[in-house]
Amino acid sequence: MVARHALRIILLALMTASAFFVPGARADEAKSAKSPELPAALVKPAPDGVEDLRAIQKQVRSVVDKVIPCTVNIRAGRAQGSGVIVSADGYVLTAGHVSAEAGRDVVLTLHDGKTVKGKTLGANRAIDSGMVKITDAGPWPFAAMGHSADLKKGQWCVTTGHPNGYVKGRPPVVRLGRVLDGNDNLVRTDCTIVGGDSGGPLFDMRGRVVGIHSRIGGPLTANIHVPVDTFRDTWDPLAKGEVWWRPWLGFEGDVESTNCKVEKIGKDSPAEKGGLLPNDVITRFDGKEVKTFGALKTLLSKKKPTDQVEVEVQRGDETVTLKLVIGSGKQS
Amino acid sequence: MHFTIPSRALGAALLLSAALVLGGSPAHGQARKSSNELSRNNAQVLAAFRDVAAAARKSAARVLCNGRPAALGTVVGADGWILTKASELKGSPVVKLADGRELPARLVGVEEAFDLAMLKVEARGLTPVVWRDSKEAPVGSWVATVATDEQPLAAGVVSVAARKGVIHPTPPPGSGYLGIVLEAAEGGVKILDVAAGSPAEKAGLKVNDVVLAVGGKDVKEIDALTGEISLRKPGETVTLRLRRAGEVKEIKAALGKRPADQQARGDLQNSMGGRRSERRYGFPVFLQHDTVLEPEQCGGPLVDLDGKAVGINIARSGRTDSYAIPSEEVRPLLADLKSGKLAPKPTVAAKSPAQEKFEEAKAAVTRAEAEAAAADKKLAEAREALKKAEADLKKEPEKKGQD
Repeated sequence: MVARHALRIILLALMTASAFFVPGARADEAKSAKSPELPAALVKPAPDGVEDLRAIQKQVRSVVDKVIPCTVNIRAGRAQGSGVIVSADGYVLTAGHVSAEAGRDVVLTLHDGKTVKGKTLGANRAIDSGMVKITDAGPWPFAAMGHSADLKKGQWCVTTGHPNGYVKGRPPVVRLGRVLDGNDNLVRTDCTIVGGDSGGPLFDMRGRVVGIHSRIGGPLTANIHVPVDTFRDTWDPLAKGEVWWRPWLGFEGDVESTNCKVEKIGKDSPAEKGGLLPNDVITRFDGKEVKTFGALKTLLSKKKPTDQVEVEVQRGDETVTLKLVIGSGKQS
Repeated sequence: MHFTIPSRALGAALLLSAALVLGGSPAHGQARKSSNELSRNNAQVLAAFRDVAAAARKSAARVLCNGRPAALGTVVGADGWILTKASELKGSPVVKLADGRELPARLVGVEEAFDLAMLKVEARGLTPVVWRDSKEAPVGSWVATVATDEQPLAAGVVSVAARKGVIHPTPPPGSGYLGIVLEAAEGGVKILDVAAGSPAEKAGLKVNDVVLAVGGKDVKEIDALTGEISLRKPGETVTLRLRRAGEVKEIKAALGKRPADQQARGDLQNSMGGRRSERRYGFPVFLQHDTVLEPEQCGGPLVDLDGKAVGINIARSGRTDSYAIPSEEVRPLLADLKSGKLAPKPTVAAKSPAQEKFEEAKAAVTRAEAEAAAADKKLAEAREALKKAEADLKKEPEKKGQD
């Protein structure tokens, strides 16, 4: 038992190592490895004294100078939110409930009060990520996208946005906090946010976007941000203006059964289009063995609309491989 | 039970996971506890500010009214001059100094716009606060709120540099309301939407009207219009000059009261996470920082990492913000506050003992009611948890001889 466990860990480590040596990724990794080390004070569990506080302050001020010009207010009809420019040609990350529908005209107010025009693009309403494009001619100041998967509990972070909506003469508002926890779908910090901040950026201490403000709970420690990795993972559908509430295939089965036996197929659903039939038993999804609908649901939730997935089914005595294109589930 | 893939269940699960984080379940309670160790407001982080407090605590004071903490104070003169937040003084003030002395104080000056009050105690040789211009603490700088203890009460960073106030993101409660959605336009502000049944609709305002002036004042920006409206009270009539289909005309509108649901949303979110100062609007100039303060922690010095005061805390404003009056605005007021030139109005100065007693009793009832409501909520939650646990217990298959 022990030996098998150890073997598994080694395998994982190898897989990670090989991922590092994908040619395309190498330059990126090498670059980030060379980016200047953060001051030690920022890596400690807590600052030891005034000198550490000064080191943190110096870094926060430099991040703030960099990120304020990239923070925008977004006005879409009655609603108002925030956003962050992440490319010179004006792609803006925001919350799904701010961009909401694709193709709407919006007005963006830059940090200095200037207004520019834009259009809403896509949104993943389930996770609350959204996208807007500035339609006026750039180039625009922009912030780099970081990696939310690399976030560590206790890590310092900076927030900007327009709490309570845009106020003339007030630049984007800065708050400091720490990452408390998170998972693939959310990051929780004690950077306090409030209505109007929605869609605004959460930055790491190098000034890279690591999250987008989404929602709050009662305590001051319940500030929830959408992890930036999800924007990277779904960049294409977001940029194309797709709005979805969840990845969707459109068939039904008995959740308590011991296998994934298909019972009903939705009309015009991705399942129907891909050739799935009633009584098919799904055995593999995207190369992974599945035995329960629970496992299948988990795998599906990591997919995004337009993804093509190979699905292996047992059809009578035959094993059939189907290609299904994930669709966009509408509001539940 | 049937399962649609992906079914409502997936959406619900995502929402639920959010609800778990946001809600008050036992799991969340645990998460909060463990995460507080990581929080920027934890004791370890505050301990790092010990030297900062050491430099400033002698210039801080606590102000008590009727024996209860009302505000903090700032020593602004060696001979017993203590600056504090005026609107928190309800009852005869007593000042507790860093050396432990508790001295009765006289209210000698009030500046209403900034909500600052000058107290005088019989003491000598106090250590006045050392000022520093707020621009020396640019956005992102640490600021500590110091009382008389070895550690500061709280710390945060400067969120927005000192700026002129009066117009506020959320209209002050009880201010006038028209019920229009606006967009900046050529020469004025265009109406995008008129709420059904609103004062604007009753006055005959229409979508696409461009408002040029309110009460004779030009409004070229949305904030100018909303500012003018929020300075007025419900019931007041205001004259709007507007352009409609190329013609300029004037319309009189009777302002109404903001519907509860409109005020409520912003108000609710801003009240999440703590109590706010009653007086948190209308300061002519203020600096915004993200320190989490209680209302009675205002009135004291807000210091930088050298222990120099860049401002005086004046309000807990909302979930994300506290306000301070910048030191460069405070200093020019000090002489007039001390000299009697800004003597308090009698109403602020003295309340009859019966009146004080009445207000105290009223406040006690309000507090007790809040406590009772909280206890009721807790009880309901506990019952719910018990019910769920009971149901889970029944579902659980019997365990056989396992260790």
